[in-house]
Amino acid sequence: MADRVGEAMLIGVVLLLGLSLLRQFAAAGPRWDLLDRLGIVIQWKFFGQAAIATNPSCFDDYHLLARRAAETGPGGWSELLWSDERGPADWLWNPAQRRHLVFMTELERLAMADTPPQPTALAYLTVLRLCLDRLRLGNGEALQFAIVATRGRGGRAVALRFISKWHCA
Amino acid sequence: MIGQAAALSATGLLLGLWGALSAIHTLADQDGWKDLGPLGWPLHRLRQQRSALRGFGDLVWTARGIVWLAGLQFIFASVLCWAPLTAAFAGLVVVTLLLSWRLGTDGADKMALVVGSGGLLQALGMAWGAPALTLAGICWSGGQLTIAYLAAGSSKVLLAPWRSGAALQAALSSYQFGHRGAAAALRVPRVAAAAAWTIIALEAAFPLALLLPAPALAVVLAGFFAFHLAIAAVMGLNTYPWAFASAYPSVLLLSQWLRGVLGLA
Repeated sequence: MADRVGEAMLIGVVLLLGLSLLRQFAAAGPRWDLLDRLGIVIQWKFFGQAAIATNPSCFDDYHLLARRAAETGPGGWSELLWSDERGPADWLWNPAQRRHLVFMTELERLAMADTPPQPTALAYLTVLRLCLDRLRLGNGEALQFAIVATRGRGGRAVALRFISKWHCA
Repeated sequence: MIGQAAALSATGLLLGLWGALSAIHTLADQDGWKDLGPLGWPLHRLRQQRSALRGFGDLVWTARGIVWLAGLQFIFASVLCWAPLTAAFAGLVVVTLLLSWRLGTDGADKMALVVGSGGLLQALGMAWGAPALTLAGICWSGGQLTIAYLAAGSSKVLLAPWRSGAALQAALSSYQFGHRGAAAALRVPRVAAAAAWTIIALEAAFPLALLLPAPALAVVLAGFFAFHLAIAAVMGLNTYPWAFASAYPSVLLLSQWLRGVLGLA
């Protein structure tokens, strides 16, 4: 019995490995994404995504700015998330890395969307909630956030990629 | 020659180190996933289209649920560090899947899932006296790692920015993925191109290393581990070395089996 189970599993593993090999060069779809997340048919790219060939902004750094507006008008921009040099011990201890990656992914989603994301989009709501957490609004105040991008190091020119609507608390 | 039992123990130890580090990271950053925060479950349950999944998430993916899951991940990982028990492999796979579904999945998580499920098959195969099941586990872990390195190298060689070194320069010059020292070292285009081609060649040629005798393959794997450590230092991806190294014992066993089948042993 155990031998038969083993043989069946071996055949299954070989088939899945074959699918995995094909997956490396196949276009993505929702079902493939699900199998990828389950660790069954995984696409391993490691900076080998096809978009790198055509999109020069693939390695841009995204940053989040926000500002308040009161009766006197809009205030100045505050940096809420600004990509900068990593700490010296990050190669060993980096607990915020996963959360940082999630935020960067949401910023990129908003910045790279083909059509302007609606304020009901989850990425928009996530970023808005982050801004409201960091910038406490008073009575009658409104908040607006912006996503900007820089490229490389030294003399970093800031490019506006997305600006939100005004929101009250 | 490496024995199956010794290989499984080494797999458990390395995977356990990954799991413990991942769990401790999650526990240290639990405030970032609080329910009323921007990444809290009440908001992010909207991403789940099926009500059953939302209901399930209400139980396990809240801030308290994440703490419990990370605690369990730490326990299973710690057990694996001491003994490659079947239940510990199974538990780590389940908990890692639940955590990564909620917190996001990176390459280290995926490799850990592969090695965990491969280790489970190997442990069951050895416990039941089913050599085919053990081989299935070895093929799963070792095969996926081989595909990972092959895909990493071959996908890069198809991209002009990688062949010229520009992609490597851009990645290591960014603040998200790069490092001041690495950016300075790769400022010269020829140096960047040489470094890029070295990475491409080593990754794409990895499957050939399976045909090497065990001592030579061990040296190759040590080199790749050093490469992962360098990536951790430059890019801050500090869980990757342990997740990928945990597949190396299976790669050694896979190579032994392959060399036996091909008459090279």
